[in-house]
Amino acid sequence: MNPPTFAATPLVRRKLRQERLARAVLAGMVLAMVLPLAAIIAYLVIQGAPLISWAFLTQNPSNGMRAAASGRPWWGRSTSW
Amino acid sequence: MSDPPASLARRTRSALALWGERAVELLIRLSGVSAVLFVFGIFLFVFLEGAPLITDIDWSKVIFSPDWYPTSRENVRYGVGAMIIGTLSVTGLAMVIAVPFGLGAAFFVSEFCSGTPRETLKVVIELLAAIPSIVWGFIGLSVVNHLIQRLLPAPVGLNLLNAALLLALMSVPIIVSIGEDALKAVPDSYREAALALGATRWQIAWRVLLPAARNGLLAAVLLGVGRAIGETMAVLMATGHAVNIPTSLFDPIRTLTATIAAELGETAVGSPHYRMLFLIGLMLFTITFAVNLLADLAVRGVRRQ
Repeated sequence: MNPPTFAATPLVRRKLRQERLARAVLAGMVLAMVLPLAAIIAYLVIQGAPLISWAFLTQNPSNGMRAAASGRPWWGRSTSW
Repeated sequence: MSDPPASLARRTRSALALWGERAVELLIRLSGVSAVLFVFGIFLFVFLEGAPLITDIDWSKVIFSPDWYPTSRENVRYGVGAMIIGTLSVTGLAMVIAVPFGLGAAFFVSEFCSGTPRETLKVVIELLAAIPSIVWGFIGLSVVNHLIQRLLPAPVGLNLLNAALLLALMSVPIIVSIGEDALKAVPDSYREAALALGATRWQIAWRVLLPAARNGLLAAVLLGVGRAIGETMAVLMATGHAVNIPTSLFDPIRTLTATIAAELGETAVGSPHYRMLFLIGLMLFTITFAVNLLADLAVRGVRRQ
């Protein structure tokens, strides 16, 4: 007999619409940061991964640094080069 | 009236503990003072290296002229006007992109997420800050450059827009994490009161949290600005590094920081060119100081209302 207590008034519908819109826009903003990050990391890995090898990391460069394994990038010292 | 009984007599600490306490206090005080001392020491060093040139140059020309010919044989000119405009324009454009995105993301992470998604998003966004600036420059040079050339009517991809995009992505994690802290500092009773009135999350964020947290959010934005002004390597690689007053988004520019980085290694110690680069360092000091002072004044002004 009673009318429904919580019928959505136009005001409620409008604020829920705004809420959905805001959530979508803000999520889009977060996505605009996360996607470039993922793309950058993927790009670095895809471009760099084929060249990483144990020889690259542990051995001195060979063939006047022209061989593919031109390595030990983090040792930095040039004494043996 | 009478002396306390012997069992309640004050127990003295051993000499070792007493002196240890004093030593630790001294150490803490020294480390506090040392931060100030180091800053002044750095300022003094930069100032003294540049000082002999201060009276030798025409400052109105230096600041307003775009002619930067430090190695000219005939007519040496040290005009940094174009670089000042370059620094300001790239920082400004980066902030136009980064501030809405950074604050939006801070609101999303803090108010629209909870539990695992929130923690994951925070970690992922902070990963952006973990990418070294040389890698950003490398991305600008090898990826963004080509994208801009292909998608936009720009003859060269190394320009104002490229560097501003990189700087925006670099300063966004700072804005997000500090802005999120600022939102977290707003008492939950504010949110509960708004919820009890029937507000949606967006209404809470826009009508309650934004005014309540504006000091913290302003601090977040200004720290982002500081990050963008001081950045060197990424802008050196991505701006095109041409002394030029930009008239469009696609013009190459040069910043104050990148000039120092690129030229200091090529100058003779003590030469006018060398001293001029230190004076540029002083200008950067001044700009950063002005930004911080402005931040302080703004935050205080906001609080007084």
